[in-house]
Amino acid sequence: MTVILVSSDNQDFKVDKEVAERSILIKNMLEDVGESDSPIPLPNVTAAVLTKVIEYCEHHRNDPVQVPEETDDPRKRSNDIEEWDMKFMQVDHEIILAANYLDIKPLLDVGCKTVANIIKGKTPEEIRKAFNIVNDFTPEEEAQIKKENEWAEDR
Amino acid sequence: MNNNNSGNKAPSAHALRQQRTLPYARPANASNIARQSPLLQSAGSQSRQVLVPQANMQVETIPVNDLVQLARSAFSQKDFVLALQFLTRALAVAPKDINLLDSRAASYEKLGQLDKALDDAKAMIRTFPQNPKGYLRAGKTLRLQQNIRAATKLYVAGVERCTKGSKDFETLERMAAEMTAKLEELIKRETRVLDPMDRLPFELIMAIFGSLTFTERVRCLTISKKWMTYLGSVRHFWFSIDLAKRVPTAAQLPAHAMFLPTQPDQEANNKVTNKTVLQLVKYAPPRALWLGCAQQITSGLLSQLGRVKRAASLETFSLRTNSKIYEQEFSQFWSLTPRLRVLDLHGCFGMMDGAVVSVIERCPNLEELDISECRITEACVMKNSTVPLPKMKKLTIGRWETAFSKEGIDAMVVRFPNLVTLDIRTMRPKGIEALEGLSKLTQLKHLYTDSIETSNNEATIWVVQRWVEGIPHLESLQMPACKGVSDETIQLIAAGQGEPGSDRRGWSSSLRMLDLSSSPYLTCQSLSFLTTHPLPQLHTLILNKCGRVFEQGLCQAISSCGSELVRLECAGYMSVTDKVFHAIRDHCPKIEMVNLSSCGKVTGLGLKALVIARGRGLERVCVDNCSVVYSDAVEWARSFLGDPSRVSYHFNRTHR
Repeated sequence: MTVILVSSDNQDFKVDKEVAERSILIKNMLEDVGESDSPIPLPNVTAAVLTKVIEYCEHHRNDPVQVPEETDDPRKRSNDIEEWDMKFMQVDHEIILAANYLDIKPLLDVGCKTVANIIKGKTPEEIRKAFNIVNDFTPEEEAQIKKENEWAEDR
Repeated sequence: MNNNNSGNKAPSAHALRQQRTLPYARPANASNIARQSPLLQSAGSQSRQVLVPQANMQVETIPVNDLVQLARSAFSQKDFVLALQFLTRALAVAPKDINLLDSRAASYEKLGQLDKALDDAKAMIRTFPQNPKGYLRAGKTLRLQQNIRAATKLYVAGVERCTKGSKDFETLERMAAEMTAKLEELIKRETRVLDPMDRLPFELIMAIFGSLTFTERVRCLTISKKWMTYLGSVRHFWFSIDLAKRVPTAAQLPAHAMFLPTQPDQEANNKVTNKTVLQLVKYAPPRALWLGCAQQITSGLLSQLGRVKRAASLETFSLRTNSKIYEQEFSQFWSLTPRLRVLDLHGCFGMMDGAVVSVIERCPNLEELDISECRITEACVMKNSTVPLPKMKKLTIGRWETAFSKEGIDAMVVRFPNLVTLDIRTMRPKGIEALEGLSKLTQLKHLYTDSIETSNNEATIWVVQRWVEGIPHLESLQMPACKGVSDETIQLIAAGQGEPGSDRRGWSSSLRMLDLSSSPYLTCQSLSFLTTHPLPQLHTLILNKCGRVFEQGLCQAISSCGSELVRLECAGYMSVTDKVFHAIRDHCPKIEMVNLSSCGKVTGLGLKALVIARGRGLERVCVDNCSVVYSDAVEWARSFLGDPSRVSYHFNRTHR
């Protein structure tokens, strides 16, 4: 069974129901509407982003639906990202936003982890470069900040 | 270029249009070649290659200059096809004329044949690498092809290579600068990684920055003003301030295998100052504050925290190994911290009895207290000892310089009746009998003692017997380097004393960790006793360097207690062979950490057997100083386990 999703720029996407239901938002919508083949409008997602999101859901269609469990074991709470996901996730905030809107928890997690991994283990200068951020501190302010945070440098 | 001139000098364009086919007409002898037998074809085709240029030369009758003029007039009349033909003919005569090549490339450009234009431009650069013209032409073509990157690269290369001084060079320089700027702009636009603070909603910012460590979050404050304001405003991020410098541990220990407290951080932490802390408590009143080893922290911090009203919410406070805060400030500070639950003052030089008394009195919610290696005596727990503090769950206490008497320890037991964890590794009791009173701690689950310097076997048996009777559910017991530990000790632990009317057998139903390392009087006899009286819950068994224990005993202990075992250490046995590895493989399905370092006869085959059996479930194997485990086996195990740090293999030079 297929579902038609309509992006914000009015493009239609034909997707297997099983794939589309990776999104909890769509799943709930389908449940509310019941059997119907009317297209589902997604006004917050552009075609370009929706293409990528569908690609992700297709790739992960056979994954077990995750039961959210908080684990205390630090080994399991890693920041590892599956290789495919890593390649897929060129940091694009649009995808994170779409995952948030469509309620696709695993995609959202991967997105957040990707952004977090950009920040991890980098110097402030490298972080600025990664996000195209302009350093708007005056040289005096910066010297002051640097001095205050000296302790954070070597760990 | 003007039309009048060209009209006079050159033959009419129409006449030339008739001629233009001539260079491509078949030479007279070509038809003969075609008719030759296949065997001669190869020779024939060679001769044709020679012939064709000749034919060209022969046919071209118009001087190059005239051809150029014609081409120009055609170009200016926008007849690019014609211009192209003239130029091609001219080039056949003078193939290395840069102006001709340039004009032809321009014609190709106009006709939209950009690849051909590029070929000509490349020929220009090849022939005249120092002339800016070629670079300008190639750059323009690449720009028309939308290849900004290559165009910029080319312009920049041109500026480097060309001779300076000409007008063309100036143009080239200008183009290079313009295009570089344009390219940077483009790259910025292409890599759409933008400031997450601009794009993402609050809950996602929380998720992203919440997964960072405290230090990383502090580093993020220094990115830009926006980041500083945004992150600083999220109070949640600043409730726990962790400025302790931790020594990274070699292996990630499975949490359930470790009942040991974390290693004290001993590294110098000199860059953290009072100011650092005060800067960070600005964002939110901290609930947790870790300042391990911060030697620059002085008394001033405590009074200032009180003054800026940042002490009242404090629940966890760690000030390990600080030597600059003294009793007086300590005593005053505790009245400001009514919510304190966890306090770690290990090795604080200025912490004395008075400060301990005041913290116990003023912080009624205290659950965990570490006052080991402070300048304390037993008097600190004896004052007001009749008032019990039932909330206290975990106590670490002791100091090598002063011995604790039985009265002191009994007073401690009365004050803290509900202790779950008691760590007296740094405490020196006046004889092991003084510890008898611990048997009244009925809630006790974890007990750590260390190096009780007594060889009084009788006394140790009596004390352990009292413990086994009094403490019903002990989960971990560490008594390493205790000379009093003997076979009877294990018998008591595993079977109890056969109390009348009770079927409880020692701690066999609760004990999860047992560490009896360096017990010189322990023998194989007690370990074989475990085969009839096992400790089935055991997660961790540590039996390093027990002088009278041999392989057989170890194998018996492993086979009888191995079903739940996660961590096993039996290092320092010269006689131990692969049988131990095989016993672990056969009897310990859940094993994650194995330490067999300094076991002289353990080989790579044993290691391999265990690694194959447990696969990646094996978190860490330590075969340091095992002289007959060779590096090939270690390399194999490392690659099998997929992580080199999982197999520890070092040699200590002093070891024989």
